Amino acid sequence: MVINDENVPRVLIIGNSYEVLNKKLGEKIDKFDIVVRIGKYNIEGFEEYIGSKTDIISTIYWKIRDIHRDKKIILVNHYDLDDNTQMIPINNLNLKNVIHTHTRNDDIEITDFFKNNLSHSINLCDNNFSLGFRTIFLVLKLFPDFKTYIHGFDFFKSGYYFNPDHNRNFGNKHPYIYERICVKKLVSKKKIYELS
Amino acid sequence: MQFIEISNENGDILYRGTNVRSDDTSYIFEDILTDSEIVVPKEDVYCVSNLTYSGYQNTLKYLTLIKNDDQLTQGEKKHLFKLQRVYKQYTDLKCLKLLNLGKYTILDDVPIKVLQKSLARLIGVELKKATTTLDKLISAENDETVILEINSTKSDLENNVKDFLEAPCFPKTIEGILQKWPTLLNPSPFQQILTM
Repeated sequence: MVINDENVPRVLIIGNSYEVLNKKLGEKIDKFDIVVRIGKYNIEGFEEYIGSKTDIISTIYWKIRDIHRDKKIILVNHYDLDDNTQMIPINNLNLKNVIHTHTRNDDIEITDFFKNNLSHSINLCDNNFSLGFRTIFLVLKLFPDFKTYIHGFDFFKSGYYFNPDHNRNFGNKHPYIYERICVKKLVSKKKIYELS
Repeated sequence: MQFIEISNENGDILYRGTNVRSDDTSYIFEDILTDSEIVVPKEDVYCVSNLTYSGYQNTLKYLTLIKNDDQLTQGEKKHLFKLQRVYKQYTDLKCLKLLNLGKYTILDDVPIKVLQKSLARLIGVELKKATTTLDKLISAENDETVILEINSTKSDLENNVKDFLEAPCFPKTIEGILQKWPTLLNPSPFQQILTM
């Protein structure tokens, strides 16, 4: 394991926002101990901006068919899938590299995490946290001894760097604006760090 | 084993299902229909519990995501058709209520211009709610960095909504009205109905 100047291993989560194209941080990114990428990330042609090192992929179960299965995987179940069922993700997918499967307990914990770090007064009824926000929560939980960095998270102020039109003006259940502020508070409290 | 039932106000059971594997998606294999046709009048739909419709939704997901049409048995096709009919009735009524168009009973009856006007009004209401929440967060915040982020988020949100209402992508069809929504104003209240 590569240890940085502070003798603390570092994990970096790279989101897919368009803002990653503002800086060429590829070399810096590839020096992290662990690099986590999200969903259907795309490296090819973007290496000088986002690097190429990929240790873990965090993804929703129904996108698992489209990603590299030789990588370690954090599997985020759909919020309303029964934990014991696992009907959709597991069968015939050969998922031997899953290091964590999102559980009901994670749902409870992430809600507390959100409320404790932002506000208890925001009504979260029927909301479903986005994959990016869930990944930040899960990485903090799974790698407590690491210094956690993030890059490429604007919570859909823009689209994806490889598809600027992605998720533009479609309805879903993700509370993006509150996730964005919550993450800024985590940065402000030095629980996570922004890559610069 | 779990039971689900849909009943009308008189207590007559319209649909009954059992779930022997403790997951919603197995209803399809164990259900017992009491009628050859399910017709749920407007007033009866409100008697259906959310849990029951969550079961319906999961069944639909299972059938439409995992199986192709040619893989469905005749029994599954029959049930899928019935589920879709009941589900459409239910969601139409909920959406019409949300749009303040309670005098209609199905979305297809509403002129598109009326729908667009109602959608714009609803977006205005939801934007007001969100900006009020953001203002409350600012009032409760001491950290200048976070306050800046909230103000920036608020500005992004208002611009997103303005662009959405003025853009050519403003929905012109019923499907568009249910699916399109300003990205940063998510969670969409329609999605909360459609994915209940």
